[in-house]
Amino acid sequence: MTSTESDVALPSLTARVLGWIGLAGRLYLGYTFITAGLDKLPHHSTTELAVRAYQLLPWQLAPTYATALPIAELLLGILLVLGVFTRSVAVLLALGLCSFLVGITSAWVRGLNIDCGCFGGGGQVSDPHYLEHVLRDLGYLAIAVYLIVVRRTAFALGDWLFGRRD
Amino acid sequence: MLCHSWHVSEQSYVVGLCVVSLIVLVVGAWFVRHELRTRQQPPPAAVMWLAYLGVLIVVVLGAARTSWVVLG
Repeated sequence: MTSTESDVALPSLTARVLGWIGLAGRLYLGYTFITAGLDKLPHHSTTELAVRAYQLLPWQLAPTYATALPIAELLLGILLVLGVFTRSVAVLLALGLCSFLVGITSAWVRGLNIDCGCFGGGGQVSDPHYLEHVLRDLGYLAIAVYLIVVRRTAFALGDWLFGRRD
Repeated sequence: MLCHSWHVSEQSYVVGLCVVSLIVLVVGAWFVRHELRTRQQPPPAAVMWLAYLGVLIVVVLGAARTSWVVLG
């Protein structure tokens, strides 16, 4: 291969590798949010208890939030796995993760002893793992930001549905 | 309390929290608007802004409640 050919092939190869990394990130983050949604969805009262334990939202808003959150997590996770509206979904997930980080750090700072309720459960616990939860959410946030930046991922259904120029 | 163990004053913590929250909301709004304007096939705008509203409520109430407790 001449130097000119390798120069031309390099960006394409880089884009392809980034796309495959994006696919891995998409599947991992999507699976995570689908799991989180499915863990919460059948246990509405427990989710509501977990939301109330943060003592952030008004009492009347907690049931609505507890209903909407698992559904949103499930839908966004499915869209991410399929690769439909990937960048928009990543923007929403990044925003959601920022709000989770505000909630967890807020509970930590206020000295509450609660479980994050991220994958079901929630409420009072004797030994909360705030640092672990914060680091985990920061990792998820990094993946979401990567998906926003990389723009194109491999095997995205959206590319076939809407063309590759969006 | 976290801010005592990290030797950060309550006022500094609250200012930091509010600044970060504001940045998240402003950057988030910009990204949502940018997504809706630049994509050829954007997702439904109402869904995007509704999701943003949910985040906004949690972030604003989270920052306000935390600031109230920390400074109180």
